[in-house]
Amino acid sequence: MTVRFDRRGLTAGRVTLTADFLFLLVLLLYTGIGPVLGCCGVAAALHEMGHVLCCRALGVPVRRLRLSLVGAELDLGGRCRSGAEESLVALAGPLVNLLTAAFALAPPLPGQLRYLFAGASLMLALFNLLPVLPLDGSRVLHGALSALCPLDRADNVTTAISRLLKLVLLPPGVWCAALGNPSLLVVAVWLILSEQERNV
Amino acid sequence: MAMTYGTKNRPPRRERNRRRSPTGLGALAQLLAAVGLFLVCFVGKTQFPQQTAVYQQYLTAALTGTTDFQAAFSALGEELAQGGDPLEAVGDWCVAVFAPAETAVDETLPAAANVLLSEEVQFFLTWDGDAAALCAHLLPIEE
Repeated sequence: MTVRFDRRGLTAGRVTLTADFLFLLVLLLYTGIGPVLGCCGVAAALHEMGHVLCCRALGVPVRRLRLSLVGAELDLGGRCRSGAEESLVALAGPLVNLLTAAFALAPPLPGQLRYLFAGASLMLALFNLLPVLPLDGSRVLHGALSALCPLDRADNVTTAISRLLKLVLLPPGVWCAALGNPSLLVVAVWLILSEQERNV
Repeated sequence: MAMTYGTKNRPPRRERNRRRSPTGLGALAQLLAAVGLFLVCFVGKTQFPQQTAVYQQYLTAALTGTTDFQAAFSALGEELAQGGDPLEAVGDWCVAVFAPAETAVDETLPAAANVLLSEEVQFFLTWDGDAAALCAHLLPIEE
């Protein structure tokens, strides 16, 4: 496996790590929230694996996995042939998270860590199903719309819904942050920055 | 977490984003800074654990506020394992993670104690340092 560095970041095989992702990793490791980080990391890896397996099953080649500040991003070399295919690939990740959450809650599995993993997997799936760019929910919506109307119109409607939901999230986020809990504001800002970064 | 893919009638994403990508030198500087930060953290944690623990607490508090993410995720999983209502469990998780800290009520206390606690907090937040006012306020409590 070759390791190289270019303007995209550090690339090993088909996986590219950007510098901002390394910053985030250092920050999270330093703050010592290890169990949460570990469970979310495993859940995210399984999520991406779901996308990759679905792509392979449908014959859509995967060119690269890019890990950046805005999350993990699959770069598909080919084009999805239809809206249904697009929706299926997008749904595969959350579906894997729901299945692994259900498996983790199966009675024979011991330990408290399974509750943490199941909770993280479930929330990762539900969060990704929000119809907000760049999350999977927006891809599902886009795929469904593109099957019903022209592609440009599907783009516009998906973007409009996404921006509306981000605007809806922002005021309560600011309010909660003013009262001492910045979590919702961080999520809202992260979603806004993610769209700008990806320029979908 | 999310994914991207090309669609019909669109140029490849790498072409759309080409102008936005950092230059090779800029990306190298970012990478070196990240590696440097990692080394500083690693050496700090191993060589000066007590000193770095102080900064770690500040940083963790700034990042997470009063939210205990581990407890919130675990409670969600535990509630579902016990057959609880999934919608209610997710709602509880949202409250635990996103709700403002000030709205939290200590459920281990009886309702009257929570009211008394709120009154006392409100008094001391607005108290102007007047001793007579303090005596007048505390006397009914002692009675």
